[in-house]
Amino acid sequence: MTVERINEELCTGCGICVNSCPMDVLRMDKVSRKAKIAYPQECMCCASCEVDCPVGAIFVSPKKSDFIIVSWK
Amino acid sequence: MEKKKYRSDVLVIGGGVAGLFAAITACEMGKDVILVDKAYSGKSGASIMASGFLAVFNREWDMDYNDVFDQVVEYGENLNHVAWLDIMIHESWSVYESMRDWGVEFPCPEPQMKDYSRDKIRGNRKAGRWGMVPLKHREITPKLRKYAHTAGVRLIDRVMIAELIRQNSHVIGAVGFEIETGLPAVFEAAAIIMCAGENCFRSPGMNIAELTGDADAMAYRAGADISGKEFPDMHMNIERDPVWKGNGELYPAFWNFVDGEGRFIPMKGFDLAMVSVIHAGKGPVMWNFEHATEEDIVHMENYKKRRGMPMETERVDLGYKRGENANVIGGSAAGGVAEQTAGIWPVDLYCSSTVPGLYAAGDCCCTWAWGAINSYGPPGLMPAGVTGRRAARGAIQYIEEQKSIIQVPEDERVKTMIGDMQNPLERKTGFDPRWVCQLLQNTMMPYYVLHIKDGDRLNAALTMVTFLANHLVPMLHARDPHELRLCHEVKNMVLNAEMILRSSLARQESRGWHYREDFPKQDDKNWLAWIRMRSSNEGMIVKREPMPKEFLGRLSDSLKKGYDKKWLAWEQT
Repeated sequence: MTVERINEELCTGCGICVNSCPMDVLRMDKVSRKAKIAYPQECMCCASCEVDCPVGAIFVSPKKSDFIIVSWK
Repeated sequence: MEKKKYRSDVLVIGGGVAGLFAAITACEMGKDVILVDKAYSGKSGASIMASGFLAVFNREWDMDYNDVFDQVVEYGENLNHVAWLDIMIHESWSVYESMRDWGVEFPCPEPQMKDYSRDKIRGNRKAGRWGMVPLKHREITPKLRKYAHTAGVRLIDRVMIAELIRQNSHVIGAVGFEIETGLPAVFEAAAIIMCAGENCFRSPGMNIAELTGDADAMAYRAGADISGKEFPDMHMNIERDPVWKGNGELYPAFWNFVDGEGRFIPMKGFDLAMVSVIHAGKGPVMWNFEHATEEDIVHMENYKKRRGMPMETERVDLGYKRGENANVIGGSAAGGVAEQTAGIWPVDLYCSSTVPGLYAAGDCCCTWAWGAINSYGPPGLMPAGVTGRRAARGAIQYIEEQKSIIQVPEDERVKTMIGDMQNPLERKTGFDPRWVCQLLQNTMMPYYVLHIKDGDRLNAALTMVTFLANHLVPMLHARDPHELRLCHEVKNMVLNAEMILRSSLARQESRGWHYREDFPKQDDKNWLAWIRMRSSNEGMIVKREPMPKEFLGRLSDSLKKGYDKKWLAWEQT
């Protein structure tokens, strides 16, 4: 995986990580009002979200795996 | 049609150091400024990843002007724009001062020459004649953003600009969309400063995957001249964790790279030499710690601590232990175009493009100050500050000369632009932008296309890229606004690929980072010249722009004997 998990119990829903991600991987969940991993395919493992998270709720794995990509959808 | 409308004197596109410097400068000169970023200004692009040093020239540090100048020209292999280089050297210290005044903290409050550990760069005493101010990681642009906000810059985040609007040959605005809602946004501005960075093809090992050449592509489509695309860039990584690039800043602390046969590879021309070694089957290239002393390791640790290294370095064991080696790879971080040596052609020393009203700064402004190679020139932060400030001054002068501000008309043309921009969302089915990106990577990133070049292979790649542009790009499909951003990014990357290939084909010589197997010699007679590209009804026009005669006298004599190193030299030794 790339950005691997966001600990929902720790996440305060401050939204800092959403702005830290230059690739638009993270979004705020409208229901839970916490950060969610919306587009992991675009994660580039920069770990900005993990570094900027004030409560240490995010973990980024350095092991990037490829996603299966389809040509036509 | 529902859309958002914005109006300002100056629109700055891209929120890294160049964009923030441009926006702050224009704001402090009394203009109304909007700074728009497809992610979040201050946290996006190459600037937030910056660590290491800010290059400066300071006479009080016992530095010699000619020494710095000559080094850059030597590394730039005589393709330097010496007037721009003069400016960079003279204005570099003021970039540091501005950052400090605007709230940026530095690890050494009063930096001195000794903070730069150039004594550790083995085999290349000439590297690093610049004075280097150490940086804190993730410090600069967030602080500049804060200052810009206080100064009155209007910051608009998470809006991607897709196209520039032109009227009577002037740039008068831009259209874009919100990446969360997909809502179109129309920006009206008297002048636009493009600060959206360089192009790299989303290399898996390059943690700055949002650099998709949007600036060059948008400016090209708006009629601006683009230059320098034949000079590619590459960053090396470590085999055991190819995705993490945080080790880059540590290389100068212990420069000891060898090929598979144990031969030392010097810093000058390293990147091309590394590729050449692999091409010749003489790999792997290793970061060699066999003979590292205890002192060397301690030095690296201190270096890391003092510089505030990126987090990747903390996480991953880079293997710099005495007696152990780390395999270096280039492929995972290939695909870039050298920062500041590829981009929008400035027609004057205030970053004006060939299109009235359009300015460029930072990595997308091709000043040619660093010539044919960027490696081991100063990192991009200082030039971004210099060009950002100059572009703002240029833009303001332009605005003041205009008799009236042209407004973006509510006409069919703008509606059509918005329609075209939203097209991938409207389409029910089509090609996945991620797939087209992957095809483009596979076409462009192999070392035998982008780095060890040859006319036949460049033409083959161009055939494929032209097909992507003509057949796949018009049928890109987006499920949501996030994917709409991907569609526009891949469209821009495909255009950048075409520019890279056409200018690589045109430059029939070898120089700096540009190496042609079929033209291995440096050709000063024909190619002390830059390449300018422009769009036309017949396609891309590629033009040779000879260097001004008055520049020639200031170039380096030692290089006149020709291209005498790297690949060929490597074969013979």
